[in-house]
Amino acid sequence: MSFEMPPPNTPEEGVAAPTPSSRAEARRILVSGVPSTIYDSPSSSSGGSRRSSVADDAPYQLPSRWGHTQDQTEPGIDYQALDYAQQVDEALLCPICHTPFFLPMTTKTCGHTFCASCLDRALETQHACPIDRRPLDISRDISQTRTRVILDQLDRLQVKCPNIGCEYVCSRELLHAHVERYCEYTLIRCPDPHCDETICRKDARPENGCLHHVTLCPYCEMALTFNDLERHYDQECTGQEAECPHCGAVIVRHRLAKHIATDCREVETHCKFRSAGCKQSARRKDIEEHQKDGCVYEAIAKLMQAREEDHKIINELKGRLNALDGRTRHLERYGGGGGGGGGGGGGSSSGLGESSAHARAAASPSSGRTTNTLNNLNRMQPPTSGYADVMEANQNITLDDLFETFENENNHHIDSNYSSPRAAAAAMASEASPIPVTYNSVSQPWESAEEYMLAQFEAMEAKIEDLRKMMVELDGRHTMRLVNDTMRMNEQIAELGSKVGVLGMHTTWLMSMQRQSRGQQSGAGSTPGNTRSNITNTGGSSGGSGSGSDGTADNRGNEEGRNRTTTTTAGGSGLSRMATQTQQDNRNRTDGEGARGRYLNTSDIPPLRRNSVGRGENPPRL
Amino acid sequence: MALCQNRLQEERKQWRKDHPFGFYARPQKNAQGVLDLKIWECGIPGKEKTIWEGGLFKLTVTFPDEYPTKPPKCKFVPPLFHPNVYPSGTVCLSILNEEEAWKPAITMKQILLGIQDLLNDPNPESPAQAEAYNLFKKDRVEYERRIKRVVRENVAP
Repeated sequence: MSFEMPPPNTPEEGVAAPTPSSRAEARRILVSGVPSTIYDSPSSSSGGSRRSSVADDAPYQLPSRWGHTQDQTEPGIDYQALDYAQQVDEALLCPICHTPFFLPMTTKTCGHTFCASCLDRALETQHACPIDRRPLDISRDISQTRTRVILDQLDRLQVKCPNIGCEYVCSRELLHAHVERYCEYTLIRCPDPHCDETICRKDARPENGCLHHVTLCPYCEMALTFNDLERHYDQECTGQEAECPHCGAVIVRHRLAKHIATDCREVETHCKFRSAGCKQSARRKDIEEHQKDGCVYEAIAKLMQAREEDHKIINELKGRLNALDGRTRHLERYGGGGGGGGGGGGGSSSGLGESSAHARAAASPSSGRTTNTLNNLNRMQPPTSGYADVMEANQNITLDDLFETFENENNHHIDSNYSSPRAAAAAMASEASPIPVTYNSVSQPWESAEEYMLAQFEAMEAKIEDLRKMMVELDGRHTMRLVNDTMRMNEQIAELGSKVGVLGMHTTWLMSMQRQSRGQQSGAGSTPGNTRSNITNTGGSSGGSGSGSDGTADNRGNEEGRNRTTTTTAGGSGLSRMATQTQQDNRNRTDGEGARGRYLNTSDIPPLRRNSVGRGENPPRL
Repeated sequence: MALCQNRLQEERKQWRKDHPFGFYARPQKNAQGVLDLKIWECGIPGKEKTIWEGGLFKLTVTFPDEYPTKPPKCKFVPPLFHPNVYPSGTVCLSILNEEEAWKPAITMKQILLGIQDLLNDPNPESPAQAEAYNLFKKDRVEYERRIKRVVRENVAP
């Protein structure tokens, strides 16, 4: 029984290659139709940054340096062969080349994105989307990806320089500039005009001349060009190998020094806690054992490190303390001078003295200890400077130094006023000075280095604590002083304010008086002399200075009064009178607002204005 | 071609980073001992709980210059007894056919997994060798017996 086999869906040997004609057609389409969108790569686009070309809506251009154009003259960057410094999100990988998109293009029909070159290659054989095989019209259905988010992410990818020997890592958008301009390993033309070879930028110096002459490797006698020698040493030369004198390992010669310094396990070396006093020295493998077991000096090393940090803190605190001190002193000086110069009278200045005294009292709490501290501070901190000496002596920390200082200090204490260390400690305690407490109270000779270190450590901590306290106190004092000063100023300002208010009231009263008298003069026929006398009696200096203009004021007042009398006598026409009055009021209001500044400055107010002010402010008096 | 080489480099990287259990795939070394990325030696284990379980079938994958535009050619070495494998050993699978379902986005992992699936799930619509196809159609018992023999011949280490 025979089976008819259905025709196979695949030709026996793989796939049918597209006929040359169909390939040629695809190429023709690409060349004729797409260039405006995919690659029209004139020479002008070579240096331009991709960003700008994207942003300028210019036709999508492949830089000519990029290996797509056939006439590739200079070594370009193959963006698809780059090594990325970190894991790249899968969404940013072109499905064709499986590397992050370079010059991404997106299909309009299905929205898939590919590198321009990959898509071009794919469309050469098949006019369909490489992902879903939907038919694609090359000239119409493809556009360059413009989504900023994607382009920015791609630009920001960290990439390693593709040049051999260069370790540089930068974001991808900067890579081109690096390779073209800065990378020392980029191959450029040999400086010798007669040589056609390329050479690393770092070796291309005119003074070196052409390095492309053949030499023999001094170790293996292989014939090489001179510029190739380094690489040859590193990678292939066998004569270059050397034997480590300690462990016998065979190592490339120029790596030997590093091997001995860090790797060789047979070489004699020291414990890494040597600076802390460990005297151990043995072969590296034994030392490693020794360190793993726990070097007894490890604790000391840690302590010393902590101490170092403490030193830093202390120095910083000292600096801040000095600065604060300076500021306080400055403030004190400034505050005293300001108190004498400013202020209305002697009362306030004495008040300042009082307040500053009060501030001092408030800033220093009742305990004598703090007062002491502050006094110390004011005297440029003699105790601290004493410590500074000690600390400077200790900066260079090796145990021997420490012991030395320690002995010095003991001697120092014994030499000081107190006959015995105990007495000294007691005296210190009774004096209750905060700084030296811990430090001096322990004046026994030390049993071991560790103990001494611990004591030092504690002393340091105590000192830091004290300094901190002092800082806080000083801060408090500072704030207090500030508050006091500003309070005084506030009071003065308030006083001035009230005085201005009183003056204003006086002025108002005077003006209303004047207006009243004028009204009497014109309306009821009272003599101007009365008013004048009133002013002189009450107004004082301001009234006197305005005497020159008063005449005009009176004239105007007379005129106005006459006008009013005429309208009143006209009777009946109350309506029109009201109209004029409102008009006047309006004018007055605007005048008053516009000219208020002038009123404050001049005592002789123009009559009309004065009138208006009076009217605006107390109309009932009229 | 640069694109082909770059893509294969990436494929290799991805494979080394992550590949399914039991499979292997590595570029062949040419006569000079240099890696030739265009020819890979691969191994596909038979799927568990099928008659193919326990076998490891060797495969040579050859990538054309136009890869990934065009699919690679997968060839069992030695030729495998299977309805969709040509007598030469070439695999007949839709995703490996440029005219059918090949897409540049398909990865090595997908190809090998696809072939593994094909082993126990032959496609009678596109037979490639008469012997296996006829047995598969007519005499399933004999077919399975033959398969078991093939598995014994290509037992996984």
